[in-house]
Amino acid sequence: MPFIDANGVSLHYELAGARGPSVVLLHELGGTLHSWDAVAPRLAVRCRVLRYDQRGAGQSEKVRAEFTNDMLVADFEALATQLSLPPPYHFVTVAAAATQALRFLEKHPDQVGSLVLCNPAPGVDPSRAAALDERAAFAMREGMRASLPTTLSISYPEALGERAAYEAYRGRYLGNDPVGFGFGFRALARTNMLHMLPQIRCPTMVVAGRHDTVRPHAGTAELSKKIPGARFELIEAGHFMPTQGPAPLVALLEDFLPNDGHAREKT
Amino acid sequence: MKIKANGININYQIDGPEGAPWIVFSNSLATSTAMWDEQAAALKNSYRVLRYDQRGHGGTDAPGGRYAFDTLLADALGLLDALHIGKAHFAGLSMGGATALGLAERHPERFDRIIVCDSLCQSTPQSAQQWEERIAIAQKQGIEALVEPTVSRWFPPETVAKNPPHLDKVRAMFRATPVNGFIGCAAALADHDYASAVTGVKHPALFLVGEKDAPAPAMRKLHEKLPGSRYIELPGAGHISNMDRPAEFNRAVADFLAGR
Repeated sequence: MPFIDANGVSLHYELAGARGPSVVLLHELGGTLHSWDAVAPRLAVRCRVLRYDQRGAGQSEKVRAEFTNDMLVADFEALATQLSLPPPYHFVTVAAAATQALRFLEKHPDQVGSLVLCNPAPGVDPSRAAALDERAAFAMREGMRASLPTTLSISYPEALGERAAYEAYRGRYLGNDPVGFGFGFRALARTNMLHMLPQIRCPTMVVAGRHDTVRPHAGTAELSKKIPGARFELIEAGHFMPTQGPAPLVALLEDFLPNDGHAREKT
Repeated sequence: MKIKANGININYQIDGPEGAPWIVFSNSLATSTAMWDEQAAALKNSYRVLRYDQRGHGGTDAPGGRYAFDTLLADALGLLDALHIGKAHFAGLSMGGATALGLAERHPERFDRIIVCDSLCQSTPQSAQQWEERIAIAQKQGIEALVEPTVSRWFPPETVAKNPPHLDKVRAMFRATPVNGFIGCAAALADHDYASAVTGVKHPALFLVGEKDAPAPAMRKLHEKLPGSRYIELPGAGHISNMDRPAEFNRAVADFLAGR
């Protein structure tokens, strides 16, 4: 998979699919573009599919400067421009990555075709920032393995999904740069896009995992009610659904994403 | 033991000698009188220690519906009346901390020293929304779905990683909390504000908070707004600071109550 310099950092990405709507897959905190391995090829049959390692994650550049949610959005803007990937964009996000899609929507409402928010974490109450900073500091200081009990052990119970997928995910997770991982938590701690939920006007699907122990599905269902006309789906997966439940997620995406450049009307 | 007060049966426990000054302990959401075991043991030689289960918690009745926070204040006051306690020190943590501050503001004549632990003492639009999400989870998925997300929010990562015995005690109290009680009190937490009137408090007040608990910066501001109050951060402690650091917590409480 290629690399590109965009917005001042090297980003590792894959752009697959010859034609069709522009689908952008944004991975979760602690994930990489490989989180989408069981999803992206299926979508690439009829869509152009961009996935990439976020700044500080995967094989993208391991920065040593703090970053913000706005910088992550600027990374995408630069990447899409340099790759000549045309809007409208159909974002598919997992967990905290929802904040990037919502910020992009706020900046460029006319460039978003649709949103698929999987177990979204759209914002953090300012009073929680210190606690997330604490988690970031712990990872930076003690490393990924020491962070497992408070992160992956909760978000990815071993029994969930394919065993091989879990082991690969865990391996990649431990391979994270703890500093980049910590920066990601710190960026999330300073981000709150909850105000955007009632303002969303594009077709939106919120997908919850029945076995998500980080964001229980009933809370996600409640959150989806804040989005006018949003479709809500509950599937057999946990917090990291592209890895834990790719088949039901792909089925939903194939149904929801447009065939002709326009998102299908909501049901 | 149980006693009728403010229209419900309230479960309570008393330790310590008759005639000693009263200190009341009020629990946080999804816990019970058992959260104060270490404090009761440390204080019962010098104080008459009254612990009670907040409405919807432990052995106290759990009526359905959304509780108003002022109802929680009325419960505490009704309990003092029923037990013929004229004046008491009052301590509480999180929901109990807001109860302590609210009581000091609304019924100043009944209280002596006030200890507010690990509480913002007010809701925000964001926290209100998060409480509504948690209420939906409790309604549709039950209490169990909230246990681990809450534990990882309440305790610092180091503590969760080591998983000391008091975390299982908290999990057990959480699981024993009736859905009605959780929902009722979560609704109260989604809509309350005793922080704005803090400057009207005339009692000696201690703001006690875990160093790593989210409300710490806001509690420091409460202390700064209330001249003469005391502010103490307990090193390494998270939200349930009295269980994370019982020895340091008890020392801070004993010193404050003794006027040291």
